[in-house]
Amino acid sequence: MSKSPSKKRPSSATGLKWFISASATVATLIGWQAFAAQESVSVVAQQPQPQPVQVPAVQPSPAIRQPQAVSKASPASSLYKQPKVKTPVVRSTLRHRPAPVTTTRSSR
Amino acid sequence: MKRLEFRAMNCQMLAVLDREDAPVAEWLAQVPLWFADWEQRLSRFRMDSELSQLNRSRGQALPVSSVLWDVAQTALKAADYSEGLVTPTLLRALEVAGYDRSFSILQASGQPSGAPIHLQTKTSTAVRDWRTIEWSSYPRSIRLPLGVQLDLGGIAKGWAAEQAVQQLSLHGPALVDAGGDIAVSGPQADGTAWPIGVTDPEGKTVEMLMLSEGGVATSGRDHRRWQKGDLWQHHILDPRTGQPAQTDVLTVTVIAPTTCEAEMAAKVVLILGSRDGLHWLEAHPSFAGLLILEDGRILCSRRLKPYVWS
Repeated sequence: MSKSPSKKRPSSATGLKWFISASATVATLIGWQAFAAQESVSVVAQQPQPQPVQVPAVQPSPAIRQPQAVSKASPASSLYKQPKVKTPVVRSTLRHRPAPVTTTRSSR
Repeated sequence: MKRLEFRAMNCQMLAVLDREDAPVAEWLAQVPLWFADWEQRLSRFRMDSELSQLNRSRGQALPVSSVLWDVAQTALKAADYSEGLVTPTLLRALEVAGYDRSFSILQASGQPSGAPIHLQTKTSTAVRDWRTIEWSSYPRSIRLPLGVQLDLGGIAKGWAAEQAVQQLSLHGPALVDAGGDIAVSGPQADGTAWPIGVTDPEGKTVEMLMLSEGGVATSGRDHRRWQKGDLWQHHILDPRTGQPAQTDVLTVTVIAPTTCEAEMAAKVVLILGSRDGLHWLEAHPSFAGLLILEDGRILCSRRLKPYVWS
């Protein structure tokens, strides 16, 4: 019976290489994690500030701008709603308390 | 609108003419001259005044000028109307109370002199006396019974304000303020009422009255007062007691058809106190009033509302 080639035990040098390689891998992984963490922070920091939403002024179509031209029976009329605008109350004259021409008081 | 301020009758005066033309200043410049003439006739503090001569007439009838005649008549009408609460015959009682010289001199000299007196006796005589005064229309003369002397004080200021505003009104809308007694000739040039402030004793404006006609006057015991012994005295005497009125009212402002009536009514309310004074005001439809009480409250008669700025 022929002697099967015995498995060659890894030498200590090989083990050392393996250890170094494994350590490097672990270090790399740790490094990537740290990098990823840094990236996530920097991403947060670089997020653009929310901008006010610019709502374009609604420009009703000429037909809608003149709702009276649309027949009430038309389906379009039900789509259009006159915006409720609070009209400020304006007095015809300002009611400032007038400055007195003089004052009445006991004899001075 | 042009204004002229000056002093007369120991008070601060103001004349206003609601025009902008150049001659306005000249017209206004006449007003202090009128007041000087009236003061010379009506002052009880000037020994050479016409009134002082009348007070020294010792029961003899004395011819008097139309000015003294008019003011004396007005004062006696006020006494009739107020049933003697406002009478010009309290001079002796005023002097006894210490008001024996002009108030500016009183302030400068401190406490006035004056021996202890029996005010009750002397004043009750004075109160009876206003109906005993005799006068003749032609020629104009007045006879004061012995012991009766006149003090035309507040009525004289109201009368002067009315006279001055009447003369100024020949040139335009006018207002004359004679030490707080105010007369207007009518609305301002733009048709609006004259805004007139009512101040409390500290000088703070507590109300704004709008006056288109007539007059407004304030009577108070907040200013012209002095100390005699341990007691504070003031110049509003109650003829029923002969002593400074004991009242919960500090000042009274009254609007009336004339400034003299306003002056009289304000004194009546001050003397009567807040409760009776308000009843008196409500019973006289010609008047509207505002009372500032000693405790700081402000009371108004029902007819004041149309005159209050709002």
